[in-house]
Amino acid sequence: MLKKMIPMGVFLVVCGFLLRGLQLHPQEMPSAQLGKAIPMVDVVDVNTLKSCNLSHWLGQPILVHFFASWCENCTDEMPILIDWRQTHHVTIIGVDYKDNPEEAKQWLSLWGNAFVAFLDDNQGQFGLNLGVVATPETFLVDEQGIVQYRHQGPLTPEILTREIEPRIQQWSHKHV
Amino acid sequence: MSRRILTFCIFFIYTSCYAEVKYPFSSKTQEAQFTHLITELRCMVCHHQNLAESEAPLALDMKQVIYQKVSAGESDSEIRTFLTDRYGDVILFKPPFKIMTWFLWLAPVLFIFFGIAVFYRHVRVEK
Repeated sequence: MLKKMIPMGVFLVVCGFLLRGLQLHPQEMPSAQLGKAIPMVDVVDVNTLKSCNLSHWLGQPILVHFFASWCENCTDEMPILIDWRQTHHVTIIGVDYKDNPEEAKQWLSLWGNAFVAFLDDNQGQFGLNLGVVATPETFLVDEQGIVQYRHQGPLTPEILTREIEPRIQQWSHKHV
Repeated sequence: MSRRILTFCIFFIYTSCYAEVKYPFSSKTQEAQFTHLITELRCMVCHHQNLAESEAPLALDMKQVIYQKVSAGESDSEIRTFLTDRYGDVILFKPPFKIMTWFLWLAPVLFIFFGIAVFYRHVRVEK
C-alpha cells in the first residue's frame, strides 16, 4: 500500500506545482522597488519647463503614473483616474514615458488630465531607475518617499478600490 | 554564382561593422565584457530573449546603460547589481542561490537521486 502511495504523493505534489504555475502571470512580477525609497531622478516638469524631482511632492501619499500618448490603455484609463481623483483628492504625478511632450500635452487636452503635474521622461531614464517595463505603470509612494505598491497595466476601478484606497486610508488614519 | 557568394559575404561584413559602430569600445576586453553581459541578462519585455537578441525599446535602453557603464570601467557585479536593484533577480538568466531559489537549483539533483533510488529499488525487486 505504502509502495503505491509514495509515487502517487510525488505525482500530486508535482501536479500542485504545475497547477499553481498555470495560475501565475509571468508579466505580473513583484517590483524590486517595493519598500525602497523612490529614486530622485531630475526630470523636466512639462508645464513649468523647470527641472525637478519627486521630493517636491513628498509629505503625502502620491501616485506616480507612467503614461504615453501612444499608449491605448492609457487613453482607456484616463476617465477612470479623473473620476477617482475627484472623490479621493490624491496627488497624481504623470510621467510621460518615451514620448514627445508636445504630443502628450495635446493628448491630455483631448482626453482629460488627472495629473497635478506631468514630467518628461522621453529618454526613459527615470522609468529605468524605477524598473518600469511598459506603460501604463503606477507606483504608490508614501509620505516618506517609500514605494508601497506597484501596478503594471491599466488601472481599473477594482484595482483602485482593492489595492490603492486601503493603503491611502491606512496613511490617513495614522495622521488623524 | 560568385556574385551571390560575394553578396552573402558583404552582408556579414556589414552587420559586424554595424555592431562595432553602434557600441564602439576602446578595448577588446570591454567589448567582450559587454557581449557576455547582454547575453546573460533577460529582456524584460520579451522574457524568453536575452538583451543581445532583443530589439525592444527597453532592451535598447538597457544595452545603452550597460555600454556606458562598461565604458566607464564598472565591473560585471556592479552592473548586475544596478539592474537587479531595479528589476529584481528575474533579469538574470542564472538567479542567485538563496532561500527563494534553493528549490529551483536543487530540484534537478533531487529528482536525479529520486530516479536513481526508484531504479535501484526496481532492479533489486526484479532480481
